[in-house]
Amino acid sequence: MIVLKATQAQYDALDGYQNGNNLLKFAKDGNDNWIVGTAVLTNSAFSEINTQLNNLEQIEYVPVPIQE
Amino acid sequence: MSTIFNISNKIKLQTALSGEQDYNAVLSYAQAQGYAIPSSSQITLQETLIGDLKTAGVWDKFDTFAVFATDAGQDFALLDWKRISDDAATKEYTLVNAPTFTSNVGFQGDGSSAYIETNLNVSADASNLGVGREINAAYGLRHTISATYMAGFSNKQRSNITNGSNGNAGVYNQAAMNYQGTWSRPSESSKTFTRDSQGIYQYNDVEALPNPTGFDTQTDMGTAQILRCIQGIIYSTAQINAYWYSQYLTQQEVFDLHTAVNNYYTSI
Repeated sequence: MIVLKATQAQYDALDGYQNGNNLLKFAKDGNDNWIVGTAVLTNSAFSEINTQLNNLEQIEYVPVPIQE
Repeated sequence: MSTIFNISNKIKLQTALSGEQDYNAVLSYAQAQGYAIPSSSQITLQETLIGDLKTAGVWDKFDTFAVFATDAGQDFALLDWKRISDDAATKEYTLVNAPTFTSNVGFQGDGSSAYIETNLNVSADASNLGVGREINAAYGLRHTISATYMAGFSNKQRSNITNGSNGNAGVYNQAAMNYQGTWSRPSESSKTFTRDSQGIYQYNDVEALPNPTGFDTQTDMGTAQILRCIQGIIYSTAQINAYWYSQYLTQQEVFDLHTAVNNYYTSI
């Protein structure tokens, strides 16, 4: 699965963006990267920041291991 | 003449959108926000749903209740019917990272970052669940696509809603029970608990927590979240049609709740 990876600067600029009931909030992947799913690229709620979202690096998603 | 006009002008005859008082509050709130409301046929079905929940004695036990399966669009789907009815400060859920909405079905996660934030802090906002009351909690959802993990809490690794329950036809009700011991506590057999293949305790229709110490000792569980589990480690790919959070429910109440939600979903 492809996800979008943010640098720290991109994270600082985009994390917490909100439009109505739609919020953008980066998650951590298994490599401790800030990532977000690709659905934000086509969701109209995020059209205002679409250019910045398209600048995020596309990487293969690495799940976070579950510690029992 | 002018007096009569002034009096009549002040009498605002507001036509109710629904004869069901609490559901009417939901519709009125939606319209006030500029959100679309369901079709007339679906309004009738949702009136029936909320009526069935009241008849079952479940409605008053809810802290939150939301129906994602609607033809009114995602804004209406995110309304918390119970907190609107209670006139709580927060009345809507928040979509985080764009879960996919399908009309008349609900929301689906992407397995990497998308989830639904209920904005219900269960340790602070919930009247039926909070610090010291966790042992009476019950919460659940209806889904059309299952996943290992489907719902959880922002500050809590355990107490997630999983697909470990057997034979519940897509509706789960995970309840915290007042475990005093461990997996093999002596009273287990007397209460006819069994453990399924994933180590989840089953008691009739209720999926009980596998961790006897976690739920009732946590001081801050954070907010209830759907499609985000184990404190944000797991993001679900489940597709969810409805979600609720309540006081502990009896077996009959669980059955009636499941029946009401299933009847609604299979009728739309």
